[in-house]
Amino acid sequence: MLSRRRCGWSTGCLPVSDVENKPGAGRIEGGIDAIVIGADAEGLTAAAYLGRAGYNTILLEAGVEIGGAVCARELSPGQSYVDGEHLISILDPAVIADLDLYRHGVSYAARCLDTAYFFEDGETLQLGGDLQMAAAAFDDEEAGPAFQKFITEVFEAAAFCRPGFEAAAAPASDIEKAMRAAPRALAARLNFFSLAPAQEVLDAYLPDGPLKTALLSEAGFRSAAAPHEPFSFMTLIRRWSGEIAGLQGACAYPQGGAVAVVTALRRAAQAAKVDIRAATGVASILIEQDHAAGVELEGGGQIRAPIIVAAGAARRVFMEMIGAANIDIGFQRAIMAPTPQLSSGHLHLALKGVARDEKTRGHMNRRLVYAPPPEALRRAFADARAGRVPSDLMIEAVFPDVLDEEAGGDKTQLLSAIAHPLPFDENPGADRRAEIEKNILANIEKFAPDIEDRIKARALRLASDIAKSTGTPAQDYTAPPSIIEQVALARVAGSAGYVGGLYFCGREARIGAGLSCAAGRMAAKAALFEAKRGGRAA
Amino acid sequence: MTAIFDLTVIGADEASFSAAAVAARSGASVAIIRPRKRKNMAATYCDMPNFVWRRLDLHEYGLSLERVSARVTLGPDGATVTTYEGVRETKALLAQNDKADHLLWADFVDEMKALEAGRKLRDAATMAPKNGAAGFSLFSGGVRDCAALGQATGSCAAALNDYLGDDALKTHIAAHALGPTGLGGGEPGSALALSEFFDDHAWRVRPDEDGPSLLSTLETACKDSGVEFFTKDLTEIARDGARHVVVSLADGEKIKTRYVLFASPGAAQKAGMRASVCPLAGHGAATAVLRIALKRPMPPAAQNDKAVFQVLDGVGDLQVAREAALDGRLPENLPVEFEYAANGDVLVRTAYCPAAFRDDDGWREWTGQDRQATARRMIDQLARRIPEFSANVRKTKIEVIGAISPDRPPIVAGSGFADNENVIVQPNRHNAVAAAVRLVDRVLAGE
Repeated sequence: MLSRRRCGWSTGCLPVSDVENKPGAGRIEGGIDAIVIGADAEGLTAAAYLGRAGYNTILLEAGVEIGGAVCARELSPGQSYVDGEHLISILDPAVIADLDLYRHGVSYAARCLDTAYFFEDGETLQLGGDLQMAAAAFDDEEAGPAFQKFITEVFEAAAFCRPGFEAAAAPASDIEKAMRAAPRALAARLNFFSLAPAQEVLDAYLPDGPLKTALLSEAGFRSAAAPHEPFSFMTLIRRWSGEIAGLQGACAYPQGGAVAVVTALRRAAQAAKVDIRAATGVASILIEQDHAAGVELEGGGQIRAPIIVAAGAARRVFMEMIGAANIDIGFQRAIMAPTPQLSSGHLHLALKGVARDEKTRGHMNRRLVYAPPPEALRRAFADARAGRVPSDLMIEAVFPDVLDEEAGGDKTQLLSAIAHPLPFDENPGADRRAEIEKNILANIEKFAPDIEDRIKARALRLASDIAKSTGTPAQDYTAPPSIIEQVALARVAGSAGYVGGLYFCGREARIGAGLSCAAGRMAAKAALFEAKRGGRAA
Repeated sequence: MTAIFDLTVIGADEASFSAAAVAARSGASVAIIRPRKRKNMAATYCDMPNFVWRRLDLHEYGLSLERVSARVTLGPDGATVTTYEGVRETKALLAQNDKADHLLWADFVDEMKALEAGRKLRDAATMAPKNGAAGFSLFSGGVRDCAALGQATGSCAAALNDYLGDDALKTHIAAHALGPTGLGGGEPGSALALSEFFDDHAWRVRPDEDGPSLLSTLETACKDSGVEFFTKDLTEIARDGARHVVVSLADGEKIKTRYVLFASPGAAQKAGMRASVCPLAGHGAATAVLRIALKRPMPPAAQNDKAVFQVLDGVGDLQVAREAALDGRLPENLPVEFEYAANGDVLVRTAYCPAAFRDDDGWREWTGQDRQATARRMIDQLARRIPEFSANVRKTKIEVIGAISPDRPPIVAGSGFADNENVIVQPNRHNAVAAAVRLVDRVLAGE
């Protein structure tokens, strides 16, 4: 191993023989203000912020692809799909404004996507993309006023909570002050919403019926917290705290898919003169006197910088790149807590011809959701946790080529769907994959009958597949735990193990499922704040 | 309409009576509403902390208490795990039984007690705050608070796996910590039960065999403190202006009160009310209490008639049982708790029963047959651990608390927790008496 003198106080250095045989192994690169490790959306955001502030920033990505899990892949010749995410719902509006993302190419093919809910009994329910207007116009004598009250109160709470969902690095006293100042009725509701199961909250507001079933599914979607379990209503609060183009709680389909947002972030970073280096893995983070001092590259050589922002998974960043010996034991325990053994699955289908069924044709320009009955949903979570593939799954699907002309292939139609909850498998076998695909298709049939006959090509993307493409452990793509747990973990992870000059915006610092970029923004802002206060970067 | 009370306590258990008596002694006007039909099914053991004992001068009533001797879990194949109130005593026993976890036991107990975030979370779930979103402001704590919050909102099984290695010991702790709440080991928030379980006040006591019962003593203490009793069934609780609620009773009488307290979710469920929003409330399940009179005396399990026993095979069985109960089925491998009453009867309890049953036609209420089947299964579970137990059962009496009728409207008018902030429901707690008394102190102090 390298001596301590040669590699500082870092751990995890490469063996001498490996290092010395590589070109540039002994090189130390200086003159850099900030290094960002990991070029996913959060890493790109952090790098762009630092670059725009005038910091000489390097963005290092171990793989060859920029964008992390969100990228375009080929499904069949001439037909591609966007992996990772197919809609935008919680993208941080501050990032769009601060980084000028509209100028860098973000545009929405569908800014305010309506949702069509499908139910087991064949019924459908359509809700406008602007939920406040949809509630006001809801045509039901009993459920209408109740829905309006529900949306008003929940949207107020969601807007109030918004800073809490990006507060990984914000001073605790600010949040405390805001929370204490909440009006009494809102405070009581916040308590109720943050602790109670979604089922309980919906029971308190809405009569039984399709609307309640639809919202119950939304509350459980892409979360490991089942809607009948404590803290699960926060999943909905988190989703509705998002704002797309000024519209709270809306969903949008960007022109070119979610990958267009990542491309815009890359352009913003490049415009800010960030040096993006793909295929440059980091072996370890150098720590000197409890302060980050730079990184040691996998190919040998060091880059020295007083600010390091890490966007990978916390286990990899803190346990492998820094080493347990340099990390507080309480912090280690928090980041090493087991992840929920649940996941979501993505299925992309290239379909021959056009849909003939009226049910499908009538809703193809919407977000389509299959909402199983509450009992089936509860059993689905129990099955998935026990390692079984549930027969009933929540499905969220879009027809990208209907929303965005550029997404369509020649004489084919594209359908992108996310199914939840699925059991988490590190290495699913062929039988398991076939079973998952069969069950997802069976549930898609609820809104697109006879779809199986039209399938020309298909791509099932499970957590393990996405992990393989990004070169990360499959554990990084399990479903996130309850929002309360995520907020708690995000605040712990945001402290970056008390290592000075190190900022973290990886999976553990993110709150809610979906493309957000808030963690990257907060990590960069914290770094800039510290530097201005007289940190080593100043 | 009778006089306006500061506090109306609904329930007829130790926690309800203690809270009412303490409030009355503090100068509040207090009413207790207890149901007309009562069975003597209460557990013989409950918690009774020193500070409540002193505040109510219980020694003046000729009451003397003895502490539960041990917590015992009867595992499969005759395996028994025992823990004591004293940390050192338990540690020594674990060491004697070659359990490697004895090295960690003291630290584990300390860390579980120190899950302060858990206490805040429970308090926030129990009553609406007066000065801001106390529950939600947990997020504003420091990094260490947040780490504890993450742990407390996680699952009991994960917390146990984090500290301990021995499966039998983990099963024992999960059984005793979660048994009274009816939660599954993998459920979010079930880790909260651990901090409760190791609370200093959670160790249970019961009166001496020759002395008066704790419940009757507390009832006398209430009457001596000026608490007014209403032995009537409850029909409705509704808001009356911004500050008061009106409690309607079966004969049409109405009581106006500032606060209503259900000291245990059992009391709330008996009144047909939705339980607290705290994860420990054990939503969607009912509790069955079975009193078994034996034909002839038999030696107590583990030669200890002063212990509280659990029957459980593994931590995972709790989750399976919880899911069955939520699904409207009686769990196959029903986790049960039991203790020996002073007269030799066996009191068996399980919080893993469904609140209503579900069959091909949908949800339906509990029937007499369901009660019989539940009693049978509880006896079978004991018989799996105690030889010849089934053959020795002379008479049984079962009570089911928390069974709901699928069509019955909730007893509280209005919708949601926020609309009923004057109605306070405690979740299942290991230290129900201590918590109820502290809660009443806070409520009356206007916090």
